Amino acid sequence: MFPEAFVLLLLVAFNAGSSLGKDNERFHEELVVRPLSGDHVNTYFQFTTRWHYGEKDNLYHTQLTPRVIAELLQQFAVKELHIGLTQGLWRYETWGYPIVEATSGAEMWAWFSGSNLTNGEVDRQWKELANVFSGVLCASLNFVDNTNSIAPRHLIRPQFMPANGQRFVRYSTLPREIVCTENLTPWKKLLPCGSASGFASLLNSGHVHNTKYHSLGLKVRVLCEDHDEENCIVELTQTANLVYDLRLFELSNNDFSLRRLFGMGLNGFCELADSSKIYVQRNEQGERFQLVPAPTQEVRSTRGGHSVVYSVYDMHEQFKDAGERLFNVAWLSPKSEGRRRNLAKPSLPPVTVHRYLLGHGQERGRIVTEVTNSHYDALPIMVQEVVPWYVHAYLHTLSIRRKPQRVNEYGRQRLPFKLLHYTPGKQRELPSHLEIGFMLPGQTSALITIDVDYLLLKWLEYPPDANHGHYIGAAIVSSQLPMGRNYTALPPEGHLFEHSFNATRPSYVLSLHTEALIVSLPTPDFSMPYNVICLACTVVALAFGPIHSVATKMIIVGRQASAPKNFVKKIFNKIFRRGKAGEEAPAEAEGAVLGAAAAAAPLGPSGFGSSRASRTTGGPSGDQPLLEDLDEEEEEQD
Amino acid sequence: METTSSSPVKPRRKDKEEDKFRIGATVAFIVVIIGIGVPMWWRTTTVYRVNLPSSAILSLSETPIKTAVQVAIYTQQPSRGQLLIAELQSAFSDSEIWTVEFKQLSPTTKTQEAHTPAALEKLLLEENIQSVGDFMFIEWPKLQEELLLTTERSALMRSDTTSNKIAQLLNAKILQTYRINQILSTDERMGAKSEAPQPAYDVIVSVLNPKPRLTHAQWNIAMAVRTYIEPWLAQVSGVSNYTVRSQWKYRVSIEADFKQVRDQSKLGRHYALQESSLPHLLTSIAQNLSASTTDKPAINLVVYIPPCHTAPLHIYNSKGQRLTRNGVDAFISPPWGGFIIANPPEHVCLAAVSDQQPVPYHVSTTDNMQVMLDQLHKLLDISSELQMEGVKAVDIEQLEPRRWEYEAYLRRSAIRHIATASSTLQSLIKLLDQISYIVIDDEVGAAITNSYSDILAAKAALLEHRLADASMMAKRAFVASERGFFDASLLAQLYFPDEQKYAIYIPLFLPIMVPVLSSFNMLRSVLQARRKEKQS
Repeated sequence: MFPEAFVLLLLVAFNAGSSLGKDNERFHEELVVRPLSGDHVNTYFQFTTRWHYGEKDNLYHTQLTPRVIAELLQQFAVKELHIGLTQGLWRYETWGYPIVEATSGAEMWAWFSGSNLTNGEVDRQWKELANVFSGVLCASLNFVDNTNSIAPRHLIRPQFMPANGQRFVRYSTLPREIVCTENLTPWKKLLPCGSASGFASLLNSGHVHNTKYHSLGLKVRVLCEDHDEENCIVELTQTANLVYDLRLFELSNNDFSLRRLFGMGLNGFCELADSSKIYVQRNEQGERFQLVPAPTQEVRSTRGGHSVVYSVYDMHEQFKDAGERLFNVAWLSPKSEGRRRNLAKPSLPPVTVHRYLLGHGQERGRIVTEVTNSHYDALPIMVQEVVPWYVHAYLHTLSIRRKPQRVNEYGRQRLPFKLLHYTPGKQRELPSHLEIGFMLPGQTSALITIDVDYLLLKWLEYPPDANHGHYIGAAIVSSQLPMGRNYTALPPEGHLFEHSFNATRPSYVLSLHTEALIVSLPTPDFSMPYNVICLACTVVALAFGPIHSVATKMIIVGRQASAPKNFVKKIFNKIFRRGKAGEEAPAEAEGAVLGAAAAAAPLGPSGFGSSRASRTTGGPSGDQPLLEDLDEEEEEQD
Repeated sequence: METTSSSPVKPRRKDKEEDKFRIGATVAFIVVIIGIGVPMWWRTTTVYRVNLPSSAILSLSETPIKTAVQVAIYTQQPSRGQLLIAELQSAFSDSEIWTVEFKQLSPTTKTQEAHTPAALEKLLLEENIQSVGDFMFIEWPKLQEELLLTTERSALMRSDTTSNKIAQLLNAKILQTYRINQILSTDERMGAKSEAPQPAYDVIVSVLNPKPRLTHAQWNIAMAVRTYIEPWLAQVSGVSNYTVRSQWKYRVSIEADFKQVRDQSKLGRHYALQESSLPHLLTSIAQNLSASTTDKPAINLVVYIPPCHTAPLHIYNSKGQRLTRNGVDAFISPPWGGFIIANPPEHVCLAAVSDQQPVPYHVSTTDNMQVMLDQLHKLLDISSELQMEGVKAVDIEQLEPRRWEYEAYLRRSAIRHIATASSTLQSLIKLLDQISYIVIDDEVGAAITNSYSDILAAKAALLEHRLADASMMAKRAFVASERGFFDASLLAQLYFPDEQKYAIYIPLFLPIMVPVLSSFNMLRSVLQARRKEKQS
């Protein structure tokens, strides 16, 4: 369905040795600013380190590439690694497609390739890899294991070289992960200049985490000439994709500037960077703004019949003269526009997706994924779902219904599958993994539904804050677009943003993430086990007491020789006797037992009974009043 | 009780018959609850623990670690040899650590004909096979010093060298008795107790260039490391494995105050780094030295290239004296690593000060690598620094350390591994005795048992003069003991201590136990009654 192999421009000719003697290593920093509709601004940072390290032995000695990446390639058979840490949801309808895709929370996938790799070995390495990056990025990636990882069959394509050998892929998402400044700081430490200079100095946590959407990305891939792995390139791409909402700045107009967005101007470029450029989109939403200072360079990119104009600021030129200063770019909107909201309706991207949950109660539900094709022609669509093990999906209920885009209700019309791959989940071991492919006719929406049951968890399996609910990770929807409208992703063979300029191809692989879902599983009261133990123990103990008494004790009625007949006297007598009995009890009890035993001696087996009786009547036990009451009642009956 | 006479009523016949069953029921309750119920509850709620050789481990320290060494002595007159041996034997007879076995080598015609000490040494070493850790003294009359240590397992001695001197040399350099005592002493005040060598280390050479735009320092660090450090580490990797990595780090600022000091150089000034601020300096750079994917401990070797506006940089002590020796400003901080300040050459900084284009230059490989090797020697604690009067050692010609030095290191680490492993196991056993909710699963149990048997085997090997085996087994024992002690499964029950177990089950046991226990009393009285009946 999709082209299997990418044409990779492998051995890019490297420039002759630069001033710092790093003749086989290149670092680039790029910043793309795109005004979006609805008073939003998208800023995209990309830091690319490319190291032509040749043989594997050279990985012991690193310069610009962080050491941890080199160690990663030595320790694991990993050839490609993607990690995304995202907060917020990308709105495809209004913002178009992002330059890099990400789902909210943490997402991670990796390709493994090597000789003598087995599935078990890959599972082990995958878990270790997640643990390593959990430490490197301070994220909870250590929760990645077999219970939430799948091996995608069709949807995730390799971007490493050579990819034609034996290869394995693992994919996992942690939608619950919250991305914050503790992830940004170690992420910045992986850059050669850190946050000391260059574009990374703009990424201050206070301003980054004020955004509507922010996504940190890390991508590592290895490009080797052949299977001998003697002539290899490792490419580390770090991306930060932010969407600012200008309305939050509370300005009188829609003007904004780098300083406004990031809290400070740019203090220069990273000395180790070969290029350091800012790209500002000038057409579409960018038309409204005037740039100060005026750009010196302009690039027009036509890709798939769609033109985009970028203004370019080269930091190496801006900071050619020595001296400390800050660089700032301001976007000024025409005065007439004023505070008015930008209501210009954006052009709808060709494919949009949504996902939601149907059903009520805590037992049954239905996961619904809706894909809309607003292009005039049919598009191939692929959907990958990962359903966690605590949700049972039923394959026989899977169906795709269709409707024309302008109609509200879905009819009975079904779409046939072109491809279906399903791995059923296993409780506490494997998630369900579903991949389906179909052709979606033009101007049509498809509704993919599958029925699910929710399972009861063991009480230790609930996460902290269990009433928050359990997440079902986002589905990935992939397609192939025949045109480049709204499409800004880098071509797979390129590694810089500028490589996407004029990169016209027969088709463009698009992949979108839907929303993540929250299901509320039945949540118990967590002090319950203790309560149950205590309660059960008490009930057993309560039952035990009488049973024990009945089985081992005998009630013997003692007769009272002279009982007062008068009611008042009776009560008086009772109080008086009780007090006396309490005082004399110990001695009397002892005496009574002995006496009774002696008296009972000739009676043989009955001795036990009599001694019991005397103890009961003489002792200070709680049974006494009851016995007396019985006596009296008997007497009265007599 | 005058008003009432609650005289026992005669039980009816039916009751009498039922008494049998009552007693039976009472006994049955007692058997079921105390005989079956309580043990079952105890067993099902108890913490899982594998059987461990606890008492054997606790008595490990009763048998001291004793090492056997063979020392051969070659003299030209056998009588002198005998005398020396007798004196030395008495000197070492009361040692608790050593069993030194002296062996006399008599001169043969071949040895008489040897013209150089080297030839004689070669001849003797060929004839008398030495095992690892052994030593040999060879008499050579025309020697300048009293004793001359070679790079092999031998020393040359003059004809007038006393046995006292030889014993001193053995204790100080070959056997290093004082250091072994330090390792074995349980006294905390002895101090100077470094950690036991780990089985694997990452040696990370980091070159810090804080201002890459202004300082165009070039250095093929990969080549330098391959030529200097890797071959040397390969020679000493008998105890630990070393992986050497190097990295460049840019824009790493060090947080310390530099004081400008006027001087006579062309730059007219240099900068002073106070000795007292060195720890802060290490803290500030350690966080920037990048994470690692392994859990191996790292030895950091940092080369710092100061930017020209704070160069040249020298270390000063608190009395204001400059501590530069032979043009080297460096320090170590075991076990973290070493730090070298590689000041740029004068002409580079002169150009920088006069605002010219930065001059590219090469960092000197030989200077820095020699310092680095020396630092590594000290950090790994292989060489013996002790100076003795009248004793000289032959200078090292190759990269590998002197053989007797290295074998002393082997012996020392074996003893340290055994001592550390035994004390780890002993503390673990003591902890287990004190804290009853520590889980010992099969894996940890196996690690502890293996470690224990390896300790015994290593001790035996030391006594039997097999240093290589002892070193290997001691290391294995050390690794296993650490794994056992630090295993996460030990703490599985951390949040469910015994007190909670009792607290939860008290509502069950208190109401059940009271009638059951009190029924004992009843049984007793029945028995008494029966006895009385029999007597009467």
